[in-house]
Amino acid sequence: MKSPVREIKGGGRPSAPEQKVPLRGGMRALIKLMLPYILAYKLQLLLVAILVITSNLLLLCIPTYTGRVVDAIGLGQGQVDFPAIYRLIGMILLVSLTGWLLEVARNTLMTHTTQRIIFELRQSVFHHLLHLPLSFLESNTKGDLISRISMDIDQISETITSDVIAVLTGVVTITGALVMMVRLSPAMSAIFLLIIPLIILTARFISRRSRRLYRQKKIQFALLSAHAEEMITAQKTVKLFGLEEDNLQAYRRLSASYRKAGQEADFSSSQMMPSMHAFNNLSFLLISILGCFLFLNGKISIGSISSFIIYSKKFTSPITEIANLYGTFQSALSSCDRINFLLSQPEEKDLGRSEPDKLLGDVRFEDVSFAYEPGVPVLEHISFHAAPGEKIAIVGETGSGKTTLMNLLLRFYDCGSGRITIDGVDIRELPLRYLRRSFALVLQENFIFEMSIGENIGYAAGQQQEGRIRQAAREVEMDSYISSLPEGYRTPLSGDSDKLSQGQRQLLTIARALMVHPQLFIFDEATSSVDTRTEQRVKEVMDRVMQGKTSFVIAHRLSTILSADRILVIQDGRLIEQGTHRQLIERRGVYYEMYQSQFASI
Amino acid sequence: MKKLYPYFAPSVPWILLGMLLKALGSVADIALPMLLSQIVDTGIARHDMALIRLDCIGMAVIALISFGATLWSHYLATHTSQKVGQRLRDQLYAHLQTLSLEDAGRFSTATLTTRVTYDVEQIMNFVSKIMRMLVRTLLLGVGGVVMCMFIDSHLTLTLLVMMLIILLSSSFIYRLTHRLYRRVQEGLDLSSNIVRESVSGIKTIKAFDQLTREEERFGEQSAIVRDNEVKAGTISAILSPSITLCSNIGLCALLLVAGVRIHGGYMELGQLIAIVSYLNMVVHSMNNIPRLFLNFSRASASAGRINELLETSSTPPEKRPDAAKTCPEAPAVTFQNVSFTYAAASAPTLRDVSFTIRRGTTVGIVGETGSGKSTLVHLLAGLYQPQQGRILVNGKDVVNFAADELRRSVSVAQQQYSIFTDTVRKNILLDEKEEPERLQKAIRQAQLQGFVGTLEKGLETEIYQAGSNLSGGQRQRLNVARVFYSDADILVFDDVTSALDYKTNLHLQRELRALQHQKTVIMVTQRLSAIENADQILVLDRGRIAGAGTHRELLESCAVYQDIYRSQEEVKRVEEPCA
Repeated sequence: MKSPVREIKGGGRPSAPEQKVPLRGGMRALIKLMLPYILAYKLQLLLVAILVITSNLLLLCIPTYTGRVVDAIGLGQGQVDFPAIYRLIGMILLVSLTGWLLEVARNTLMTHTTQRIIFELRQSVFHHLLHLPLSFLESNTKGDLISRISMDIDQISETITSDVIAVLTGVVTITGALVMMVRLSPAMSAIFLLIIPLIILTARFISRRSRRLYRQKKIQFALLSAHAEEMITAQKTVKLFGLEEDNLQAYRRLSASYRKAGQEADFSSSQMMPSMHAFNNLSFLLISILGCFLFLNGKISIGSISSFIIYSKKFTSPITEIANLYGTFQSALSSCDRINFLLSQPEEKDLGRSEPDKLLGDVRFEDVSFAYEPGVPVLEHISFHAAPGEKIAIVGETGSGKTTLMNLLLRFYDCGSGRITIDGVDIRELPLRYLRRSFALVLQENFIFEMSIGENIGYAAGQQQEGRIRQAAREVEMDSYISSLPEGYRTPLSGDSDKLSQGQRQLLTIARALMVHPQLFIFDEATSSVDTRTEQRVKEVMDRVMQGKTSFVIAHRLSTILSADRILVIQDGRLIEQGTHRQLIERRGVYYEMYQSQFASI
Repeated sequence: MKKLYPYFAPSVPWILLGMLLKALGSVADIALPMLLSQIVDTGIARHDMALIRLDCIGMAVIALISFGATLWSHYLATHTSQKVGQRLRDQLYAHLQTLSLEDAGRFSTATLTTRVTYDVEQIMNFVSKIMRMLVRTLLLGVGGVVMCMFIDSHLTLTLLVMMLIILLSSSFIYRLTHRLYRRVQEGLDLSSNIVRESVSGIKTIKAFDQLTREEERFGEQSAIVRDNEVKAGTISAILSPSITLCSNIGLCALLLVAGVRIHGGYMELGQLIAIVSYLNMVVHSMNNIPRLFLNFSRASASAGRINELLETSSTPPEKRPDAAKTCPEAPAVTFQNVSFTYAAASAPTLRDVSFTIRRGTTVGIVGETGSGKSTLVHLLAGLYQPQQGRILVNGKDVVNFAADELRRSVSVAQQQYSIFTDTVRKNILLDEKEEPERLQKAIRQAQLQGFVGTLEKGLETEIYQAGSNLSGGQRQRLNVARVFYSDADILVFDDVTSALDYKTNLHLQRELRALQHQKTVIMVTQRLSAIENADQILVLDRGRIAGAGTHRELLESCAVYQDIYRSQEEVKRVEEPCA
């Protein structure tokens, strides 16, 4: 059975591609994504790392000095060694001032570097997105793709700008504090031999569970946003059919399951901090006990205990902090996964290198077959030839594959078998940009950009020329309407505004195509919503522009078809008839039947 | 933020309990150094092993309580904040449903979606952060100072001055960076709009080879984001290490004062250790303050945007006492001197439109592109309210209909319709109950039987977002099937056959013809052949009725209609000989 509907392979659900990415290897995902940038900015990052290490090591000296001050004070009433205290306090001030300078330098450098990295990452992901094949873009929801570029990159940006420093600082502080503690009292440091494994095990357990739960949370959030976006876009239809209640209930259901997923994920990651704190307190307790013991045996001074406690705080508090960051860090890792997934999609094949000097517009389909999904052919064995300057009309029932034919010609999709040539060159051997620039295209789904009317018309014409834009608008009979708007050609348009009717949108996209002068034209149902009077006048303009150019016109209206040099009749993905109107009428085949139905009484 | 209070209200007891528990958990952190100082000053000094043991046990118990209380408070924080988020989100979405198209139209689709998802998320994060961080920060900060005061009141001033400096510099950072972050957010919004547009219009963009241009547009916004981020980042790069610097200077001052105090015999060494410990605690808690400010600034921006939406409310049009009931003798549709102007337009789209449609008749509406045909249909369906004149359906003023009631009387197949990401079946039924026979009939009438027959999963086939796996004609017929399925007695078809081939169109027109005399059918169309046999044809010209009557009458009397007819007949005439 042939079916024009592409089966959904999970693509329709925003979360689907994610499940293909294995849960583990989050760090690897991060490194894979960031490595090129790390390498590009290796000098800056190296300097940042050096600054992080030196500033933290410097600041780590302070508790030692504090301990010595305590010892100097600890000589007791009337015996405080003030010269020593002044010297030590001077040292502390010097060290903190230097530390401050280093930190300022480090932060400034880091901000500049990471923002530049994020900027480049954003650009390259967007670049990649634009160059992905339509088969990928159409099978993923808009909301999902958008959230990959905005939300996911945001998440990564936040992580690398603030969290990376925190983690790096944490690591240095932990190491430094450990060294200091061992120097102060190897015996008391032994406590951490017990504590550290506990911390690591707990952190691992909580983080693994959280990561899984965060993934669920994201999936639920994507579903919720996708629903909201779809229904908000469909406002009119929702209101017309009174679907508010249904829509609200569906939203509430999604909202409730998102809440549940959110609660689970958030609570799971929020357990990290109390757990780490418990270990902190445990080590504090053990230090106190052991400290007393050692002091009573004369093995340690009170000042050293004081320093040791501060170091132990310095040792454990970054662990708490890192643990606190774990939630966002997890989120960032799964964002990396998602972006890597996008980047791992192959771009459109663009192998053509040489641009022909001049294009005549001789188009040949040679035994072309195509299927969106394997086993469900949409086009089968299509062969025809359009000589330069010919006007080819393509007719057929809806869903018979007419638009697909044009999708192949522009290489939005590549044909499964057979080949398409222009001037004898396989279109796969032409540079993609060159190929597409050779066409002017008016699509069935007329697309309006969120720009002004003028910019929409002049979209493809490079430098905006007001005169030419006005001329194009006049040719499609839009000039007087546009001029009547309060803001004229500067009127901003949005995707679903009421400023233009459906027919006016079509006229606007035709005007857009009139602004470029390529060798080939494609009009896919370009005037289906335009009234017949306007259509006739626009058609004259179009005929004039297309004079001597090869053109393909998909239409149902006879008026558009009649002037074609040749008519192709497509049925169920096959080319069943071709010829001039006269020939086809005489043949009394499918076209004849179609033609008759126009005059048949209803 | 205040205006959102009602959404927090039901959760307030839980929020308070959570904060209380968090406080309890934090108190433990304050108590531990206290006990340690007792061990040092009393236990060790007097070699009182019993006291040391007691203190140690006390520390263990306190640590346990701290763990339990904090865990519980985090449970409450995460669960309550999500609950608040859900409540806010659901209410917001429900509110959105009550807005008229005109009012909702003031926001773009993108920002509406952002408001009901992302912005609520920010508020939720803030609630959770407040419950988890604010109490602790305050308690450790204030608690630390208070404890020091207990130990030796002379040290308090030093601590207070230090805290003040830190607080001031934090709010300074906040004020300097707040506006920059707002600009960052705007840039991000605009750039994700560009992404949205690029994905939707990818074919147009690729076909006109404008990829580079889109990248440039995106790059401009990204650069704004980058530049403002760098500015804000540089400010905090300088100011946030200053907090550490302040606290270190404070430490020096404290040590100096303590030295003097101990030298004079007013203070003991163990107390100094405790004080240094508390100082660390205070400093540590102060470090959270800039982050809390940042969270607050984000949440308040989001709250502002949510409020803006909540404050936009649509008052339902005033009911009119007359024409309050439908009556069986009244015409199906009456327009009386209706004029309408869109909010964004300067000139009216419809001017002084009057006509009557009798029950059971078929009426065609024709007119040039942009002449107001779809607007007329929208007004009839009650999507917009005319500024002047009135519209009656079955003798009852449209404003007097309950929303649901009007849908039961008038069913519209729009020109610009939406296909939902759902099965074929659900897309036809929408919220109606399924009656298999009626469904089959609607599918037949809409000329979908052939298409549905080829589907492997039949009616259960899933449709992609916006129907991207269907052809234009298939989408259009799905839209029509919805109206055939409804049991309304007035059916409106707004240019629904533009993507249909002639044959399919013919069959569809025949189905519509068959409805004559059973239902009132209103057809907006470009093809005169579809309405030649209509009981009445309305000709719209630049928002006015240029003519009304049967095909024959209009051919004689209406110049606009003659023009349209001629434009379609020419085609026929040219080719007639060979047919």
